[in-house]
Amino acid sequence: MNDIIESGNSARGFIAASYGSSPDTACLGILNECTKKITCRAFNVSRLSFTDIERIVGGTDDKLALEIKEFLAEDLKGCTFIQSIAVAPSVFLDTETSLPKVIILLASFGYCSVQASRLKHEDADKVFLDVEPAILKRDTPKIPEWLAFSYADTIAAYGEFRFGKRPTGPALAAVAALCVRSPGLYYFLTSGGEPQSSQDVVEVFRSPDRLKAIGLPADIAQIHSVVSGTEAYSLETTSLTKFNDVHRVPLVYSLASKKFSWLEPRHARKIALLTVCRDWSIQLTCTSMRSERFAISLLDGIGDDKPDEGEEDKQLRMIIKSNYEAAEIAQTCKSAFLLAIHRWLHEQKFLFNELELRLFTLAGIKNKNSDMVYNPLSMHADWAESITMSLLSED
Amino acid sequence: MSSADDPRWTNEDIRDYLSLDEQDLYELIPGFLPEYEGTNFMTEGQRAAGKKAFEQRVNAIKKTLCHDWQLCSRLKDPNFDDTVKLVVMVGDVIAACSGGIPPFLAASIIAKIGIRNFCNCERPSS
Repeated sequence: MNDIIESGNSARGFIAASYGSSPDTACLGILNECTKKITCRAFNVSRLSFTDIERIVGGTDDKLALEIKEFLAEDLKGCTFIQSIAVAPSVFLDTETSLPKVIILLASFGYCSVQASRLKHEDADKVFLDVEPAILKRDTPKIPEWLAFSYADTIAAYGEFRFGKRPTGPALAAVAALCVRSPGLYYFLTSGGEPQSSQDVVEVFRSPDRLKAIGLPADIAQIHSVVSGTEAYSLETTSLTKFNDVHRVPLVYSLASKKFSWLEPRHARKIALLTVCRDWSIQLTCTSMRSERFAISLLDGIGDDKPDEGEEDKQLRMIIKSNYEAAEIAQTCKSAFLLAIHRWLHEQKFLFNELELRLFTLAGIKNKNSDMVYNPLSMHADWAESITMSLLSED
Repeated sequence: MSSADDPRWTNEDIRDYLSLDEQDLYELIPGFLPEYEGTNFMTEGQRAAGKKAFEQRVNAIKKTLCHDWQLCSRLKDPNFDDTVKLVVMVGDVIAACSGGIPPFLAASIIAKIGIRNFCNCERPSS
C-alpha cells in the first residue's frame, strides 16, 4: 500500500484526476505502461450528485458512471499495479464540484483507497482528503493502492519546467500521471521540505578542490544531502556534470525561482534546483519517509543494536520498536505506521533534537532507498514524456 | 583588466541581475566570497549573509563612487538613462573596492537601491 515504487514492474498503470476547465468537469489521465499509451479525457459530472456516488460500491447502472468505468477499464488493460493521484488546489474539495465525485468513483471501482471525511468548511459542504494512508492491522485483506495527492500548481510548474508550457485540463492530468510514475519526482514535488539553496549547489562544485587540498582524490562523486520534513534531497556530480560557468549557478537559480514565484517559495526553489541540475547535469535524488521501501528499511532493522549509537538515538529506536511491535500492522503498511509515529514524535518536540536527521540516519539517507528525481545520464525523453509533450503542444 | 572587459560577464547577465529584486541579488553574493566556502545555507540565511557582506563594503564603495568619482555631478550623462550602461559604468568604477563581490552584481544592487539614494545626491528641482 502507498508503494508508488514497484520499479521494474512493467505492468503498471497510473490514473491522475484533476479539475477541468470548469468546476463541473473533471479530467482523467491514464498512463499505461503495458500498452505504452497515455489517454486523457474530460468528463462533465454535474449530473451526478456526491451522495449518489457515495452509495456506489462496485456496481452502478448510471450511464455516466458506467462510461467512466469503461474508460478506465479499457485504458488500464493489462495493468496489475495501479496507482492513482488526485491533483487539486486544496485537500478541501467542494462536494458540488467534479473532482471529489470522480475520486470517490475511482475508489468505488476499486482503483484506489482513500479516506475522505465530509464536513462543513467555511460554510460549504466539503470533502477532506486524508493524504496519509491509514494504518491497517495485520489481518486486514489487501486493499488497492492509497490515493496519492499533489497540489495542482506544483504539477503545472513541473510541466512548464519540463515541457516549456504550463499544462491545464487533460494535459495537467497527463503530467500528473507522469510525475506519480516516477516515485522520486513525486516525493520531491509533493514534499513539504526545503531543498538545497544555490549556495549549497555551489558547494557541490567546490568540494573537489577541498578534497584535493587535503590530499584526497578529487574525481570521486560529490554528494550533498539535505534532510527537510519527511524527505532527504541529494545532489551528486556525475561524469556529465559541467564544471564551467559555476559563477552563474546562483543567478540561474534565482531567475528560475522568480519565474516560478507564483508558487509557494519553497516549491519555486524546488523548480529552481531542478533547473540548475538540468543546466549543469547534476543528479538529484530524493529519499522519502513516505515510501514503503524506506519504512521497511528502517523498521526491519529497528531491533538491531547499532555500533557507536548515542543514548538519544538508542532511546528513539526503542520507542519506535516498542510501538511497532504493539501496533501489529499489515506487512504492506509500514510507511503509514512510520508517518504516524513521526508525526507523534514531531509533536513531542522536547523529546528529540534533529528528529528527521536521526530517522534518516537509521534508514540511510542516500542509498538503495533513494529515488531518481533528475538523471542527467538519461537525458532523452522516454515514450511517456514524448506523448505528454505532444499532448501539451495540441492543448 | 576592466570589469567591463571580463569575458565572464555579459550585458545579458546584467539584464538578468536587473530582472531580480534587491533581496534576490543579495542571495547571489555568498557564492562569490571565500569566507563562505564550505558554508551551507537556507535561502533566508544566504540572503542575510549576502546583505551583510554588501553592507560591510558600502563605505568603501561610497567613497570611491560618490566621493572620489563624484557620481552626483555626472548624473546628466545620457548613459545614465540606460540602466544596463549605468551598471557597466558603475561596475567599472567600483571594481577595485567591491571586495570580492562581482562589480556588476554590486552595481546592480546600487541600481536597485537607486543611484541618487545610494550617493545621497540632491534631487533635481522640477
